[in-house]
Amino acid sequence: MNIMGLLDCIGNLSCLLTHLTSAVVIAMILFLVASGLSLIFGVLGIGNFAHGSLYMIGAYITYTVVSKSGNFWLALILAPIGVGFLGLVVERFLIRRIYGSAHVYQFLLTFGLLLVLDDVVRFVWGFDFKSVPTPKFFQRPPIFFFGSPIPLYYVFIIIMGILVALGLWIILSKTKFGKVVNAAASDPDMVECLGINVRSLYTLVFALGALLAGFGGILASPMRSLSPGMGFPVTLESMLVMVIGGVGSIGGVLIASFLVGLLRSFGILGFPDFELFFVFFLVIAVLIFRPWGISGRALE
Amino acid sequence: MRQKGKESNNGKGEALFTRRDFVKTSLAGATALMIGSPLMPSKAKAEKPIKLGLFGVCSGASAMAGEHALKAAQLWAEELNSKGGLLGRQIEVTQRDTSNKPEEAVRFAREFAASGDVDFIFAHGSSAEAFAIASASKELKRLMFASSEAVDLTADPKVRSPYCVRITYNSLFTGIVQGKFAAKISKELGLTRWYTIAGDYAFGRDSVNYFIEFLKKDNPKVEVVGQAWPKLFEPDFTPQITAILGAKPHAVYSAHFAGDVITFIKQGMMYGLFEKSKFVMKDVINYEVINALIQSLGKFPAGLYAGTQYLNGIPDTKANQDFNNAFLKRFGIYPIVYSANFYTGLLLLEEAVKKAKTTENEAVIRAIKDLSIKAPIGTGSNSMVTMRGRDNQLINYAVGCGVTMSEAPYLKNIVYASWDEIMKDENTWMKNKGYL
Repeated sequence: MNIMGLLDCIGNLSCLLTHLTSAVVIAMILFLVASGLSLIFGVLGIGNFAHGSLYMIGAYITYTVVSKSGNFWLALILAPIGVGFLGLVVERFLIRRIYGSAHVYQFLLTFGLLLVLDDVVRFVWGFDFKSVPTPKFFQRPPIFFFGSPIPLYYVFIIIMGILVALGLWIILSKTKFGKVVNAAASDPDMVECLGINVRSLYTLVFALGALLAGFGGILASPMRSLSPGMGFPVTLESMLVMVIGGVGSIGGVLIASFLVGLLRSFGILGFPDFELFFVFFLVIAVLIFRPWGISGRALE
Repeated sequence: MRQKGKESNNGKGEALFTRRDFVKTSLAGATALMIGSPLMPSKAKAEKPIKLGLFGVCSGASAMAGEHALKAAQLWAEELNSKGGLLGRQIEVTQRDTSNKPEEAVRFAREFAASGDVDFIFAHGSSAEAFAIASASKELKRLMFASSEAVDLTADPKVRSPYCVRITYNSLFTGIVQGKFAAKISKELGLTRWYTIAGDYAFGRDSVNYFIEFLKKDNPKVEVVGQAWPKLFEPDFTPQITAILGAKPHAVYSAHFAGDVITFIKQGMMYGLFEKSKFVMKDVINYEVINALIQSLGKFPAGLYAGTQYLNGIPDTKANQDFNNAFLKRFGIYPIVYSANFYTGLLLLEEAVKKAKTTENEAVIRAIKDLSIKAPIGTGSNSMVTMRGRDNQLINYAVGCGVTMSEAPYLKNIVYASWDEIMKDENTWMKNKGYL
């Protein structure tokens, strides 16, 4: 335990900003993946254990596009489309069959999908570690902000995360599509009665959730190494964030992502041996005192 | 039996059993009995293949270990089979995926042991699996080969199994070598403030503890100013990297391996971490890491202190070169430490079986004790390694430290450790722990 170290850092502007930036970057990647999971769970009622696999596929598609073309920006366009399309196919031929089923069937199907996708990745891309280079534009020394080093690529991730959060908010609260999605989350039968094809709507929502996960994988790929099975820990983390933030609440997921980012980034200063403990402690506290999450709706 | 021409029938016109029928039947029965009989020439028995049962992690983030173990086994089997096999018997290999679960490892060990047709069992999974295997080997009294670096597997008399043979490096030896090397450079360069980072599990913690023990033993002026313990396969080391930057250590010891070390270096580079402190990297000299970093950074980072681990050219011996050439020709990729260690284990098995002139487990166990063979990871002019008889631990393999460079062989100024020194330090450590 190093409480003095933690307090020293908080009292030092450079150190404080360094760890705050670190927290925000962790939060942005978490938010991208978890928001997709929360959207799918909130609207479709499906807990998708293969959600992290979609993040993994996004990273691998990025690897292929960058390897072949040398162009990360092209990957930024093509990879989300690819993962979104995969989401569309998965929903149409697999997920659609288990709407309304007991949770155990959802778990079995999506966990099976996770295992299949891991093996698909191993078969297509191989078992060895892959790596995506940092885009050339960001291959520069970190910028300094009040003495705090911030890698340029991390600034890009933060900006993209904010843009996606804004975009999601606009789509879900200001567009007709968003209103229909919110309505379908509350009462799909009524929405169907109003002449809206709920099945197609579900497909689009799942594809959107998949696209978000894939986008998280794309942005994370220059920072991390790629290997089969890399998606599962991300699924677990996203589920924790979704539980803390609230099922179906994008705003809640954003707040939860920041909380987890802060706990991890500052926790390691004060409690290096068990910084993860605080994240799980937060989950337990939420489940006990506010099981619907920070700003979710109470589950029936 | 009735003579031909005087056959009777059963009243329905059907002939009864004739003498010809009797002779034919008797000959057929005698032949069938002979085939299973010890009287048959031994050539029929020698055709029964020698079967290796492999199991370990073949999926997920550690899939590479399983794939390379299998490739090593395939190469070894093909080489032997092309020369007529072992003791005149062809080698067959079968593999199972434990998905990194010790209970699955034990299940496969029992399955192979009970099947009756698996002659030798090789485990290439995690340390948790290796400990489970050691226990199972004691219970089943079956020879099992394990690849785990966890020291207690062979050091602790309560854990050690007379039937379990370790065919990989030992993290205590690595800690001794790297700790003493770090002590030397810390004295030369005045590096007194050290930080450590390793995965938060037994291997990570043990690796760091051994390193610090031997670093401080040779340079008591060293101070550990901070330690980070991210979880295994952590995708984001940003909090740890920023903590290291804040602590401003003179040097950092990283016991990460495989995907974690790749991620750590990539993210550290973004912060300029490697310009702020000297680094000693435990497990970076390996193609899986080097190739991924070249893909990502354009070149392998130079100027880091690193343990030798394993490469084509490390060790720089003919035995290693031959193995690399054969592996590359067969599979199109270079071997990595998992394949090199596994292949060494198989070479040991081969020599032990030849020495024992049988595949019977107890005889092979006796034959393998204190056996020395030429191997890709061996040291000296003859590239020898030895399976130490007192605890079934591999020794005399090439282990040292150097400085990384951007071109092959990626490590220069290599200083290989003396095994006399290593074992002197090991003995002291074992006595302090009460193991000796």
